[in-house]
Amino acid sequence: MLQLKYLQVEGFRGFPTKSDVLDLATPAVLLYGDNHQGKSSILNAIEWCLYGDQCVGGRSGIRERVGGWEIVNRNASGATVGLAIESEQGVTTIKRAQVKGLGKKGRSIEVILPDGTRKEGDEAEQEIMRLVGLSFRDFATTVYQHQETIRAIVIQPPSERNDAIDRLLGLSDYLNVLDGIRRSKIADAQKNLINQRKQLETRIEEALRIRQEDLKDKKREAVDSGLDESELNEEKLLEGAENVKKQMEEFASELGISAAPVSSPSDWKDAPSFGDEAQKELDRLWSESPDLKEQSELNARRTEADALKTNYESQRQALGTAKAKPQEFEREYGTQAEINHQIENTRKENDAVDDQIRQVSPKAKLVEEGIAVLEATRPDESTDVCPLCGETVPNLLDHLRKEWAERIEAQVRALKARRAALAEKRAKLIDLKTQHESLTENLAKAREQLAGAVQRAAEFLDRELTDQDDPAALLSIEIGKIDDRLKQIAEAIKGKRETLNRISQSLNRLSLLHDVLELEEKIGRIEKIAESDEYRELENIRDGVAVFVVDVEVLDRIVRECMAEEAKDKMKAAGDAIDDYFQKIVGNPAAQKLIVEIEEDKRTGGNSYTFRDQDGEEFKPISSLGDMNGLALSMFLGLVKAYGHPIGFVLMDDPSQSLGSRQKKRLVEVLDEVCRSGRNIVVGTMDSELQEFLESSLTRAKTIYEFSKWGPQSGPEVVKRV
Amino acid sequence: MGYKEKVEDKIRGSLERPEERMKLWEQIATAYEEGGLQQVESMLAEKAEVLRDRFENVMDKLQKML
Repeated sequence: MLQLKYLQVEGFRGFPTKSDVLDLATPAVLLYGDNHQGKSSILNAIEWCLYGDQCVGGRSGIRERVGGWEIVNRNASGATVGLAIESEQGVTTIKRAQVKGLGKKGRSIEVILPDGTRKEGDEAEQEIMRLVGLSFRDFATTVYQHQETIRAIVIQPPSERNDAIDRLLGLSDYLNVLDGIRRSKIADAQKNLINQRKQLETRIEEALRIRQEDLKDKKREAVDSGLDESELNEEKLLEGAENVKKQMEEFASELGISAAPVSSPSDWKDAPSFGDEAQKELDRLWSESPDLKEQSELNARRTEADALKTNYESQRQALGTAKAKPQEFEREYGTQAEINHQIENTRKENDAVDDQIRQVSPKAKLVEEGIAVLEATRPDESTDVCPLCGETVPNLLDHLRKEWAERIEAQVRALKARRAALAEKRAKLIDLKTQHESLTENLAKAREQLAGAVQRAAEFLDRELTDQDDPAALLSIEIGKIDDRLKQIAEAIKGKRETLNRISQSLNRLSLLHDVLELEEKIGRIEKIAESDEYRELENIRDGVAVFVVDVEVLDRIVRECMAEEAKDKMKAAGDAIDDYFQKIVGNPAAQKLIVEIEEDKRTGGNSYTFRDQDGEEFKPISSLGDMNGLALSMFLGLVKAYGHPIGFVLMDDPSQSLGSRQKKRLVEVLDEVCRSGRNIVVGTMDSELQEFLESSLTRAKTIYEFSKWGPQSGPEVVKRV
Repeated sequence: MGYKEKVEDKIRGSLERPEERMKLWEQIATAYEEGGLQQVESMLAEKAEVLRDRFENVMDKLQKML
């Protein structure tokens, strides 16, 4: 059997630095120490060295290793584990390493075989498998008792306990595959497609109903337009199109212009394009018909005649007003000559008053003019210089004002009043003169505008107009003539418009016929949708999905069957050994025989484990946590015993979690039995009571390592005690 | 015999669609070995997605026929 020889770790989990070489060759190797001192790291290192990535993450089947379970210590750049194993051929050494942060590139494995041959990479992995001869799953079930398996069975509720027992039995691969299948929710995807298909059926029914109602409406419309229900067919449509063409040719002939050819529809589907083409040609014929053209021209001419007549009458009225205003003005204020004469007389009278003022006081005029000159002097010039003689006289302006006020003003006051009155009169006369000139100009302008209106009327009437003609009357006569002609044209157009309307109605009937035939075709297509290639393809895909879902369900069932069979096989093989260990470890007087019953869990479809006693009574209700712990250990040790694989050692991590004192002592007796049967044991424990029992009751040679003083930079202090 | 071989034995012994189911099982087992249960989940979901896309594509065509 394979036996462990020694182990050395560096940078692996709880060991940031290189450890001493640990001797694992004695029948019992006991790892003592409190929690988080590195005991489990030693057991993990053995497993990782043999199985590498298989024991990491979700694939390991060990829940605590899913996410965040780090191989390389946080204060190390890489991890290296060296392990020596002895077989009948000699000692094989294995060295597995991983550099932090390099992924697969940073991983290496090296094996040195007993004959000194060195193997690396895949070849090294193959040599390890050849040596160990056990899959990782079997190793984890029958060689290495993890803390988690005990904890899960002891603490978890029944449904999860079943899962934990499955994993203890090495059924994790089945469980994981089933979990992956369940999470893919294939059946939900199928339900979704079934729902979509049902919705399609509803839409088909709805579309059919709507189209049938539309068809009913269109048929009613067609009958209302003059078609018989029996005529709602393609033959009638094509016949109607030919009829429209004939009507159009006759219409063109009636209008006196030639019609452009319109292509006949080859089947009912051409009806819309035929209708568009025919309507376009109809519009052209109508817009180019001579009557319509003349009507349009005459309407324009009539509008122009109206405008000319209105303009002439307006200008004539404006001239009358412009003539009346000067006459009224002259009646009130006199003619232009009379106003001019008055202005001249006023001027002469003013000169006479000036002479009188000069005669009354010869000095007065001079003083008055001197004051006026000095008052007009600029601020920077002196007002002391006489404007007549040029001599400087102090305060000359004040002196002149005083002279005027005291001596001259009284003498000329009446004359000056007279002169002011004359000036006012003259200003009024000049204003009247300006008003008269403006009225005269307005009159000239009115005459000019009237002449323009007459000229435009002459051009419109195409004849000369003299003062003897009345343009308004002439324009009225012309408007009357236009109206007479428009009446004649309207009469002629009325008949042609009726023809046009008849053709339009024919086109409308063609359009209705087309709509009826199109709806009938659509309804036919919807009614036959279930026979279409697309519908058949949809059915095929639906069937494909159903087959796929059934296949997945069948595989799911097969996986469950295999899982149940394997569980039963293992329990059958190990049943007696499990019962034997259970009696030895637990010693519950109420359970003299342990029977494990495996059934299908109706809720989950997985395995359901029931533990019964010799009377068939369920064991669980009376069991303590210690009993459950004992049960878990019994199952592990029973599987170890039943398997009979070539690995000659067992790894146990904290096996006494909930055991009582007596049960711990019994466990050690069982371990002693295991040792004596040829299997070495490596046990990690913090339980001082168990340590005492191990030291006092294990009859085989033992090596004890004490783990303590763990620090993040230094790792644990490991002291060997033999 | 591992879990994979045990399931294969059962599939071989089944009457209906043994070849197709064997092929599907091989895909499931390969996905599991490559990426665990998540890979099984995504591989199956992807297969369902392909069928759903085809289904919806044909559904669109049929909708247009209405």
